Amino acid sequence: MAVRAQFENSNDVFEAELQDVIPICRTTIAGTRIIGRLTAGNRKGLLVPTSTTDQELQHLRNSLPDEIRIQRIEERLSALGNVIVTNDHIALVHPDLERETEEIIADVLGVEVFRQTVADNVLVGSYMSLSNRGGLVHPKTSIQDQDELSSLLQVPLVAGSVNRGSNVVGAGMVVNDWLAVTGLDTTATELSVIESVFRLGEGAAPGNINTNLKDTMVESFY
Amino acid sequence: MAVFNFDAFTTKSLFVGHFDYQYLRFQAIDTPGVLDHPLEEMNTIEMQSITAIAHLRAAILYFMDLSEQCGYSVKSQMQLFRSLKPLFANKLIFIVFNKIDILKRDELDAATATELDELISSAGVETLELSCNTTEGVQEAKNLVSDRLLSHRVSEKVNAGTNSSGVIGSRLADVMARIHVAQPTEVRESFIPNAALGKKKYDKNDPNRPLLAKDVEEANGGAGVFNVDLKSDYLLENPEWKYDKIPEIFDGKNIYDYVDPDIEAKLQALEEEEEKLEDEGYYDSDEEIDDIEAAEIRRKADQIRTKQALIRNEARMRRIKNRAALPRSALKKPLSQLEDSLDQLGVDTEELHLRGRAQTTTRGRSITRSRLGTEDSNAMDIDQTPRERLRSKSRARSQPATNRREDGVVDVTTRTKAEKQAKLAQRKMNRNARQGEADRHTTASLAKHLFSGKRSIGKASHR
Repeated sequence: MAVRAQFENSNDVFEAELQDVIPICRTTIAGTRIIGRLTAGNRKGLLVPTSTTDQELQHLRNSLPDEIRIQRIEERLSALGNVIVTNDHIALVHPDLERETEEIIADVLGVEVFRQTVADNVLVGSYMSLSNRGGLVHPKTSIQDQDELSSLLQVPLVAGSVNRGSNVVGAGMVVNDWLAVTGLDTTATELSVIESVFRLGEGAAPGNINTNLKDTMVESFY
Repeated sequence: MAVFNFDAFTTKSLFVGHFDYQYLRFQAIDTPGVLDHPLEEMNTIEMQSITAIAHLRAAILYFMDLSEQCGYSVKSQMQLFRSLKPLFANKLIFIVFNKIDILKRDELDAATATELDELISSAGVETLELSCNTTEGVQEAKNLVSDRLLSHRVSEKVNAGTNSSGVIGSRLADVMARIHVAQPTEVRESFIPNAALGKKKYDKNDPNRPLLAKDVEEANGGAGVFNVDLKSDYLLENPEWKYDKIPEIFDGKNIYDYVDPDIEAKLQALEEEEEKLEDEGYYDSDEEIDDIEAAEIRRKADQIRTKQALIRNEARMRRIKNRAALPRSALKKPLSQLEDSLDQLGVDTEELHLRGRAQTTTRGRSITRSRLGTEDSNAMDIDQTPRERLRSKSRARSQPATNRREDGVVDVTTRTKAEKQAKLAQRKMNRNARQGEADRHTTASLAKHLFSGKRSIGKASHR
């Protein structure tokens, strides 16, 4: 299922959809509320930037189950959410990330790590959103790049937008294997693309996009 | 989609409605009843509807009332359709038979039915049947028309975005790139917890809905009064530990730096591993080569920088103060400077030096014995004396190109006249024995310091 949410009251949406399914933890990172941009993680681990305080780290440790590893990374590019995009199998990272960081990502998240760009943007975390079932990339990504990334990640990929044409798809939505939460401005067409490519809900399949949805897409984007 | 209503004066102006279909928003326009009269006689409302019909890229629904309850005969309704037909060029047209709960199309009398069939087949339109009263066929009609309109518009757009040779334009290609789905060869394992699959959809009107943090906040006095308890969800070995107070600094030390009991042992292990790796030569792969190359580059860079600094210094020293700026070609440069700079570049300057010496003319007495020479007793008869040799090489006295005495006078008479005048002018000068321009003149002799210019401006306060 895909839902729209506003940052200001997204807590309710997450709670309503995820309560009793996975642990929910309210936290700040380095005193800020932009935790999605500052952290990166998957089912196995969580990476937080060096600016995270000791108290926040303790709070996260207490709130998350023990099998999830938490690691604070000493990395110059501290907005980890913008420079890392990961699912449970593979992570794509900013080409300028340090070698040590790359190793830590591989160890903590249990993934293969590749340095990549998305539509010539180095901020892979901002311009891509990824789950184990699919991925959404920057709307200007060429077909060749999409195919390349898809064969690397082994998930279906589609170039799309969120929030009524915004190209920062990574920052405009969060997604896991059964739920996507997008910005409030996201249009119905964008939402249907998201549901299809991430296979959220019954009958949603990536194949829908170039069959059932094709006319709608041409009509709304051209 | 323009909904085109026959019923006269049910609509007084354009009504626009919206509905969603296939994730798209459609507009339905109800146009005011168009009466069958010439364009010039139409009022503003009617012209508005004609404009809407003619200029929108839409599907046209022409509603007909076969029951004739609206007060117009089927014949006149068909007549109106015929007269409006030219406005519908290149548009999707549907004839919709309304009020089928009263009279269906196949219940029409034979004559009207044939005429209607003819009209439909000649216009090449599709027909739909519905009843607004029983809502029969309304949804089907709406969906069918929307589908047709959508595919019509899309094919038009694709045609517009593709050039004659079948190449897709860049803007359409962008859209096509968004429709493309990159499919992988294998499927990654995904993870969905059972709790997520069995979760009931949240309904905020359900009295038994799960309690959210917001509800708790509301129950306890609302925002600003109550704050959500962040520690209640801690997953700890012993739930009693949840609210334990932990100091940040203890004995002047940040306790989080010492939170791991095995920190010393782990550090030891890490250091040992590091040492081992270092001994095995894990780190010195091709770093050395890099070092040598880097050192060479650095040395050259240093050289370049020193040279640049020298050049800059020299230029600064040379900067002209208190003296006219001379062009470079007028400046004298000693040979030594040329030699120096060539030496630095590694050019052999020996030859250059000798050649330079040979060409310098020495001041002072010539080193040859005598210009005219002494008599040489051994000289043969044909040999010339040095004096003769010199004379043979000497140049003749130069002659001016023009004789200035004759210059500017036309003939002999004018010349004699000019000469006479010159003599007359000279007569007074001669009588008074005055000094002329041809007379020898000695200027006043000055002390050397007054005209030799050895003392530039500002060397002494007197003078």
